[in-house]
Amino acid sequence: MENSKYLYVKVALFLVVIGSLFLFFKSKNEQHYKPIRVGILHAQTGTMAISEKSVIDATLMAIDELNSKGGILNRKIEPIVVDSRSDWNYASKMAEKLINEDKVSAVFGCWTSACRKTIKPVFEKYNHLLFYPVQYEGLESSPNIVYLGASPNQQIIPAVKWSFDHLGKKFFLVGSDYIFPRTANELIKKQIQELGGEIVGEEYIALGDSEVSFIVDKIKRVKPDVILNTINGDSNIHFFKGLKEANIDSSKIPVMSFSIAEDELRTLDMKNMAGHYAAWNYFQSVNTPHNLEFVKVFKERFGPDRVVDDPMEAAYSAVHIWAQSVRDAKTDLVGEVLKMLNKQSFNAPGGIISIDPENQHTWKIVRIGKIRSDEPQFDIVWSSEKPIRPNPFPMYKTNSQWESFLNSYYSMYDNNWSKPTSKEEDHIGVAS
Amino acid sequence: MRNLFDYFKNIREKNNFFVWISLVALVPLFFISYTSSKISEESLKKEVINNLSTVADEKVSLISLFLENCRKNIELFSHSPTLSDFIDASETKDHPNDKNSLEENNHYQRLSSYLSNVRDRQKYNDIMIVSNAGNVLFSLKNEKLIGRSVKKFAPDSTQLPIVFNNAITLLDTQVSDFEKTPSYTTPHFYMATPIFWEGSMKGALIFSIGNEEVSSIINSRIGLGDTGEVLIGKFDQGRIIPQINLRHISVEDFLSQSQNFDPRFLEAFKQAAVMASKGEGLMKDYRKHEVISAWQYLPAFGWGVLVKIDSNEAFHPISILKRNILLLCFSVLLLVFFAAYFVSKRFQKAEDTLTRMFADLKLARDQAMEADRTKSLFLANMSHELRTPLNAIIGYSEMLQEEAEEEGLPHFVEDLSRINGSGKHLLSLINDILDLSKIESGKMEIYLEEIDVKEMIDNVTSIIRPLIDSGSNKLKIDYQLKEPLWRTDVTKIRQCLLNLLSNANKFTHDGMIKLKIEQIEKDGLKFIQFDVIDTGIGMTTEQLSRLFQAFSQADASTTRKYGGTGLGLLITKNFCQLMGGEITVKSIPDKGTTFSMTIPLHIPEIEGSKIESIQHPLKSNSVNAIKLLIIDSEIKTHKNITENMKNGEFITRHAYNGLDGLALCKEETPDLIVLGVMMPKMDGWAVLEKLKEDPKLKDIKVVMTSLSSDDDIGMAMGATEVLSNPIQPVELIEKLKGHALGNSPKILIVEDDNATRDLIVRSLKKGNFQAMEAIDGQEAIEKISTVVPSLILLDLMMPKMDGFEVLNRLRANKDWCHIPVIIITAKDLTEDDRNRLESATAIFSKGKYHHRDLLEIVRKEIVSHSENANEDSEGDKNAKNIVS
Repeated sequence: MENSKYLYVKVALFLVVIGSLFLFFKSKNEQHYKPIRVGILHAQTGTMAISEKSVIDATLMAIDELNSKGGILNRKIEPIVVDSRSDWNYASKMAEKLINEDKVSAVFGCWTSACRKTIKPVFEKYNHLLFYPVQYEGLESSPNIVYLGASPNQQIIPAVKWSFDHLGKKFFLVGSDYIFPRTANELIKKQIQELGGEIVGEEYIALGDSEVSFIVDKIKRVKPDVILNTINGDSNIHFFKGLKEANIDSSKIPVMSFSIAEDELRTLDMKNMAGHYAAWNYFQSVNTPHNLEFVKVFKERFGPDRVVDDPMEAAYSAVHIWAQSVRDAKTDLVGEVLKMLNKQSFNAPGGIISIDPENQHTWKIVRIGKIRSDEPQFDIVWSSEKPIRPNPFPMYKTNSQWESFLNSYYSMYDNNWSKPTSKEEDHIGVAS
Repeated sequence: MRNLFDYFKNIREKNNFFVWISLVALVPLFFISYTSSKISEESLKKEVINNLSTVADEKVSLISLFLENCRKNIELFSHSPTLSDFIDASETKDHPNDKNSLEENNHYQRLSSYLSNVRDRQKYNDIMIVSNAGNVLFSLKNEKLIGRSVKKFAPDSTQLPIVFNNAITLLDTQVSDFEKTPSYTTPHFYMATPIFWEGSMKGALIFSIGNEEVSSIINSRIGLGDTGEVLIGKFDQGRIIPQINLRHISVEDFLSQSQNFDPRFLEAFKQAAVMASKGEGLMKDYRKHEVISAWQYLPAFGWGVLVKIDSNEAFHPISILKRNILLLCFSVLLLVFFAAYFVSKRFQKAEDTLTRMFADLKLARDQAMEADRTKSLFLANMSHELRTPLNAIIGYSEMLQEEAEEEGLPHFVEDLSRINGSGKHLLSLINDILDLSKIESGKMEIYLEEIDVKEMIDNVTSIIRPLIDSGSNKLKIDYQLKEPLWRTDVTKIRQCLLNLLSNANKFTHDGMIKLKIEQIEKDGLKFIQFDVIDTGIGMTTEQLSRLFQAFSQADASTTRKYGGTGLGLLITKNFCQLMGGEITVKSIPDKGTTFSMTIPLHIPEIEGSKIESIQHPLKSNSVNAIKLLIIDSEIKTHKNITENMKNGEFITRHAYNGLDGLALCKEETPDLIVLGVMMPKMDGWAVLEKLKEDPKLKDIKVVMTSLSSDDDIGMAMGATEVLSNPIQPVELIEKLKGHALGNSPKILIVEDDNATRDLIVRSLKKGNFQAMEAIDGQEAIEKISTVVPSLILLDLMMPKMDGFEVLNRLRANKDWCHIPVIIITAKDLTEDDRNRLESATAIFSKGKYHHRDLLEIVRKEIVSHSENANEDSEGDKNAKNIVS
């Protein structure tokens, strides 16, 4: 009797040993490997910090979402956040550090075109991967950059056409004196010319300049139907204030802005802004259950007074597009991930986005919004409904024509991608 | 679970090797088969899904490539100067339909043939040129359209106005959805691009492209087997709207059945088309066939792509695999069963043999044990049967001897002493043989108790001294122990010492026998060593070697000369070993012999040995001692009495005049007073008077000693007894003891052997006791129920009801449970027996005691018992007094 008792114990022990061995090997297969590192290269200090900090938040939120679901390929994602100090030469150094020292698998970063253009050679040199979240002037296509923001045909061109159809045919162009407004206005002038519209004025002010009266005076004098605004930063406060003071409000001469989103709107005086327009791919007010959930999650995380805007949504989507590519490639090796990138589509808060296999820009829905009078939000007045194919090189010039155009500004800016400011020695990155 | 356990237990008990071997072989087999089939099934499934995903990827990229090609074509043509020339020419004319102009005709013809060429090469349906304002300037397929505005195409085509508008708004090539119009048999879509020339937009070029190319991409079913297909379409309001014909049913049938589709199918397509997410899974398709599918989003049209294949086909290899594994499993199963059968048969045979052998061995063991038990029983009976008559012989001879002495018959005394001596010798022989047999059968037990070594030595000395004296030898005790207390088996030590001493005495004449007791240390352990040194005849080396053998003495002549059983030394040696010690001997012939007995201070406790000390009949008990007050002016009287007392029997107090005596009496309240008459200060009579006046002291018994024979006065004054001087101390003490007991108490003797019983009765009567007799337990109980005796002397081995049972009954009855019981037995008591007799006061072994010892104990017991009873019933005291 005693023997048989021991026999059962032995049999049970044997089974337990076998079972635990089995589980051990099984779990070994699913072992958690070291985390995948990604770089986040945005300005946390300097002029651009106010916009880019929000983009960092959106990026981190997407990473946390992935990690809370167990990461990718059973590996957690470890973000390494680096401050670009609003200085693209420094950003370039940091990009090298992220790639060579931190061995990141991808970098999410940059806001200004100047920044992007400066660090682009780094990514091409190391055949690495940069996700760029902001709309820009186009005329660029790098195999190492995924452009999540709008190309001109996804923002500027539809907005100009819409303005031409709905607001009037006499255009006045204002902008900051940088590569983006210059290029954008070059496109706009061409388009207006082709549409048969009239350009009654084109003025530029330096970054941060508050002296806008000469522009306002000119606007009063030439009486345009529409103002197309590519001014960036604080100058907008003075510009809209000047317009208001000159008694020019949205009902008289509406302004179509290309660099004012919800986040910027918060810093502006709402009574000066109501009724003006902006063109983007995404507004926080996009009324789909998917977007409402996204906004809710964001506010729960960062506070009810925070807003989401186009570059943030793009940055958020960029992380997911990258994660899908890693999943498809079954590795985080950049070369393999790059191969998978051009097959990706993602149901972003603003609608389905897809990476174009030809130019690595993003298929996106185009939207035009009208600023509400009571809150820093937009009413969507027009939408392309379907995602629009990105075309970074507008059709009315050939690629080589565009390149020589860009190079002429590059040399004009003293081999820089923005006009060196007279006040400061530093190169200051400016929105797109 | 319980049942399963029982089942296995059952199997185990039946020693079913067959089942066990089969199980041991089959469990891993099934485990491995199951796991491997699962693994291969998983990998095959993965492979199928990978295949489907690849097909989906391929379709998506082929469609994108096709569109990209179209886009490149249309953008290329849009920059053709012919186009802008044609538009310029058309715009300058008021009526584009008017083809009279030769130049324009020329333009038109050239353009027409150029574009026809393009269309035919690329298999487009139509190529149209539309002005900025939206007027159709040119259509290759349908000239009737020329002049119409695309904005008013709504009934014929909904997609054309949209695609045109998008193209000129976004200034980029645009692709429309598929649509079906009456103009074409198959669905088609439009691609529109703005026409730029010299920096200005002239209009739009529009291709109408049929679905043939897309169809051929989708319907190419390479890698999709017999049942696989690609489903491509929109997802609209919970319905799948296919854009290309299906493999198995028509699109119309598909749409009409779409309410009944498997939700998993709908959900999969929704994920692809609406959520733009990839996925794969099992589901039922529109034919209700179980399919495995992979799906994804098609960005070019914003559609979903779902690639599927029937599970039956896809998993065909799995079912083959499973069948093969099952077959393999089954064959191995058969093989294992056969192997198990043969192996188990051999095992079974071996085990059967073992079982048989085991049973035989068990039987043999049982028989041996039975024989052993029989032997033990025989020994026990023998000891009883032999000791009981011997007891009578020894007892009667002792008593007769005393009577003969008293009556002055010296020649009888001598004979009787011989009878007595022979009886004792025979008894010691029997005891030795029984001891030896017990030792040999391993039944000798050790009872450890705390003793005073000095006391034990004194006891031994008192026993052995008469023997030594008779051998004209001197006994010297050299006691060197510092610690008097020792935990040991006192009976065995005593027996050993008595053996050695009597042995020494036997071979020594006019010599000296020395007993030396000391504590020694050997190998770090403490021992107590007893040396018995004599100056006797000694032994040669040859004699020494035979010393500890049974029934051997130095030589045969020695036996004849010195007598003895020859077992004493052997028993001593065995006892020593039993207690963890040893005995050594050194001897020089004619000089003497030294036996050294070495016993550990800490005797290892043998399993089963009871540590609790057991009552020993001879152990003195000072609590039971009688308090005696002697009041007499003559110091000689005090000395006479005390010298004749045995240790512990009395506690004496002394007073030398009447006043002191009275004071002491009040202080101590003695049990007895011996009172002299002639004393200074206060004479005996006055003391007696005072005593009888004091209510507390008047019950104390007083024995008066007087010179004159004025008994009557003394008795009249309340003295218990008056003795006349000169007093005989022994007689006085016997009297005192009798008085201490009160009026002759009743003692019940329970004994089946008539001789023994009579002996005890006579002995008791001598000691002033009333004897009641019972011949067995049953009669004893009957007697006790009529008259409750003060004490019971109980034999153990009796017919009808034995002593154990009597004791049990006594202790179970609350009226009888306090009666002291003294066991008198010839039985060799085991550990168990002793436990059962725990409540007995004392145990006497028949033949081993002197009847005086018995009387002693009986007396003590009755005294202490009556004291206890008095204490117990303090309240009843008065009532008892009245009765008495």
